[in-house]
Amino acid sequence: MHNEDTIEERRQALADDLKRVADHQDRAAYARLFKFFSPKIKSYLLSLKSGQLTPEMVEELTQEVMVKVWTKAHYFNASKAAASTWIYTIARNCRIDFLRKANATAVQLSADDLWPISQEPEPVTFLEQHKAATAIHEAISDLPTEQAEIIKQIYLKGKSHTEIAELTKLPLGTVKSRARLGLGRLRTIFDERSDISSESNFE
Amino acid sequence: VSYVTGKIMAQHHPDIHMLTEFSAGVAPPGIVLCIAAHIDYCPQCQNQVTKLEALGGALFEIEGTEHERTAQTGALDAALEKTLAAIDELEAAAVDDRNNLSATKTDQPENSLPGCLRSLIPKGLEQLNWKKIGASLRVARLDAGDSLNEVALHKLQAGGGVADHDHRGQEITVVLKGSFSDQNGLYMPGDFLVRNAGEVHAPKASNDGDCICLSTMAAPVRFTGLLTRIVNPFLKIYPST
Repeated sequence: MHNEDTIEERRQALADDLKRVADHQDRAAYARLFKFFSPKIKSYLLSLKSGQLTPEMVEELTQEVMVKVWTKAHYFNASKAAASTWIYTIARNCRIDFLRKANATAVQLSADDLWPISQEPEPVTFLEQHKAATAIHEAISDLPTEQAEIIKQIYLKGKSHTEIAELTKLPLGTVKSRARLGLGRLRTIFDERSDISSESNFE
Repeated sequence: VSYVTGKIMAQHHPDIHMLTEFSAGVAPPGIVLCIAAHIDYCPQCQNQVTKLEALGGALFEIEGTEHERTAQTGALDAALEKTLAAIDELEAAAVDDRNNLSATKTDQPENSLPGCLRSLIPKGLEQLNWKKIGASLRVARLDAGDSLNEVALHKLQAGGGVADHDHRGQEITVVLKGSFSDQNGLYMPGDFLVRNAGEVHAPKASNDGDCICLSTMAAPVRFTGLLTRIVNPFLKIYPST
């Protein structure tokens, strides 16, 4: 289903549509993006910490994310990130701000201050980025289930390593080493700083 | 020591698990703030986060198919229409804003601090509510919206030190200005340090200037040295949560 050609073609088509929205406020392009991404945003928001957000909140937030896709489209740079990554980061930030506001705390601190969306100190060429996206898709489907499961729990269910350990009754060290092994297998994209774990205070 | 664009590069980094939780939006706000501050000094970790976000984006794209199959075209069209209406409203309001563009420029008195901290320190470092804790330490709490961690700036006077203390919970420290040392080494701006529960240390600021650090602490600090009673007020600003 996720063979290389379709991923790359789709990726290009989505990036082109985002550019059309940015340059020409193209509503047909926006409609295509909406139909592709809004169900994914909904899935993502519903699955995170399942039940934390009501279906009504998810509707509201999905709209908010898609409005930002329109208003911030000119920040999107296809040479820096895939459209899906860019929209993922918007959805992540919107959700965090939404929860913060719901708790009525520290509303002056916005998620965009913490995860600046357009920042990239080491520009990656389009080709590298292009290869990386394909490699990520391939590598994820090749991961052993126990490793993929933990990485998915973190990104898609919003669980911390500690929460996963509690949930699965696995020792925290096991959860961390599976996560690390999983990320290690995604080496094509993580090779540069595989040494970062040597700084770890958690081993 | 390596340099990037004139900045000394951080030598102590968050581990891959922390960066993963950061990129997934899972880490608590205080820890997020510390990682965001570190990244401002550390292009390598920034780069790592970019890659982790690409992983998150790929998972978001691959896995979010459940609703695609079940989403009814009619409902999707209706949602699109509603969203476009919201966009129209927003654009009309934006035109109004542009028409009466007034001096809404915000002051940025602390340009030397990481961008993520500016909204928490809107009037500059001096205007924070600093509390004196012992002879050379001042602490200003920050409201990062974290119910599990105490988030604060610590200012250690040049050459000043803090009594031996241990931690009942994890403490993360990011050096923002100046430098300090403890029995394990010397820490410079951008360095990201994790002290786990039970670790004892006695930080001392370098002689050439005040040291300002951002810190996030999971539980109250307990002093172990002879000065316990004297410095006990420290505990008052770190109530157990």
